[in-house]
Amino acid sequence: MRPNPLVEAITTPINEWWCRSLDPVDVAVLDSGVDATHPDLANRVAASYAVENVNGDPQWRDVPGPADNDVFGHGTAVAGIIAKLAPNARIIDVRILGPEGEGSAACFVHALREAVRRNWKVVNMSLAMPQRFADVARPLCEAAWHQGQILVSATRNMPRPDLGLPAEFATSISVDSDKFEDPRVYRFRPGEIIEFVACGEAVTVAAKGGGYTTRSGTSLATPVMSGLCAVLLGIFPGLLPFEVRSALKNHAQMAESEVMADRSRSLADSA
Amino acid sequence: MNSARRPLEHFGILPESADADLLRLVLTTAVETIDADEGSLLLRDDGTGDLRFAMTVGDPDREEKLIGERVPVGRGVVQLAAATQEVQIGAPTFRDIKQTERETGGPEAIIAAPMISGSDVIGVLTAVTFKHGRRFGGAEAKLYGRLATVAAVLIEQHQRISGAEGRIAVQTTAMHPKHNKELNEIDQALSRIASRHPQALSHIAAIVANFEAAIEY
Repeated sequence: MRPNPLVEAITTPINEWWCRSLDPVDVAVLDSGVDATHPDLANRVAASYAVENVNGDPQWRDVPGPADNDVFGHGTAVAGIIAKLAPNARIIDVRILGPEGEGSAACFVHALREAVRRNWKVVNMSLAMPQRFADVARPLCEAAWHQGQILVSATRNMPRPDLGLPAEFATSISVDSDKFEDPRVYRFRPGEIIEFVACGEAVTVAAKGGGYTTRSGTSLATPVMSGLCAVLLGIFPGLLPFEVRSALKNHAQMAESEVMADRSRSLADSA
Repeated sequence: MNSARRPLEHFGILPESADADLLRLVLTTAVETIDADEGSLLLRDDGTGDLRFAMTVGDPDREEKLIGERVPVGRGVVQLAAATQEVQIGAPTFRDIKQTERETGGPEAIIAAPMISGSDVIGVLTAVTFKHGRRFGGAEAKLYGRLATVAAVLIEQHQRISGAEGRIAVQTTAMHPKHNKELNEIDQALSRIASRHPQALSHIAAIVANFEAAIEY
């Protein structure tokens, strides 16, 4: 009898994931665009789009590629991390930041709606939308969860009253940043709203226009988790969002105190 | 300087005022705390979205050259910080992944932290270093983000107080139309004192209270 995929996902050591046969997985990158002409992203960007603010309304348009669709270089760095970590990831580039820098929150919501409608398997959001969009964004994220999509979102770097959306939603795998030597190593923080902490410090990333640069922050930690999700789903395509989260939690580093706290919480829940 | 009006004055902050000194103190503290070489405060032009240099610490000559200079919308790490409302850390671009052949000039590293008032970005606080191989990290970015928030609150409070003072002056003159000229003169004198010698305000308050008590009784 074939083992339960969740059990197999939990018991397969993370180092062995890359030795398995990986199905292709669509990973949408909602960001400043992606430079698909960068050597690291050659033949990795399956499609490019732009959501632009036209007279106050977000408008979706196709960007013929491969092209440099990136305005700021942020999305290229993010996509480069995913491409490197997940050889099976098919990058879907959705540019939501325009050169004018305005209307990006409305464009972000529009892009998320489209990502849900098109059912791209993993959606990486290394940006945060303002709190006033919570009522619009929450049902979209719930719809994504119910149809099996994996949303991966960055928490804010800035001290603000909120942690950032969609990172605050339980339907999203939310990510903070720290320094790790190995990008496949990450932490899980049980009981925290922002549950995962991944490598986002002094990361060498692909630069818009070719070449490489160094960046830091939650924006760079988020694609690490998206890449890991893409690899996991490449091995076990049928995993549901809660199963992906469980597998990721199981493979995460946890401090001894966190392990004990987590066990106490589990015991309390089952009592 | 490429503009007759300095960016800080656009927000009603005179260059020699106590609020400008306080902003400079915040910027200097920020730069020194993370051991950067220079730091700048850029303010957003609402009309165009461009960011304009309002203040620079670290090199007085560069400050004279930079004040009023524009960073056009949609360009670089500074505008990325404004567009995303997040702290951004930048470094030069290299041709190779081992980062030996440098492709771009400029500083070795930069932090850009947005100054947010309500839901709007009113400016960006930056730090740069020219030390070879130096990079800024997440802890420095968080600290810079906090200090950018302090700078934003300072400007926000200045605007609120200026607005309230203006409303009070208008109300007072409306209530006593025969004495408009005198009231205006008093109001202008107080505004000048408030911006040049804010420590004198408590003395003036005491003098006015004593005077009022003397003429009432």
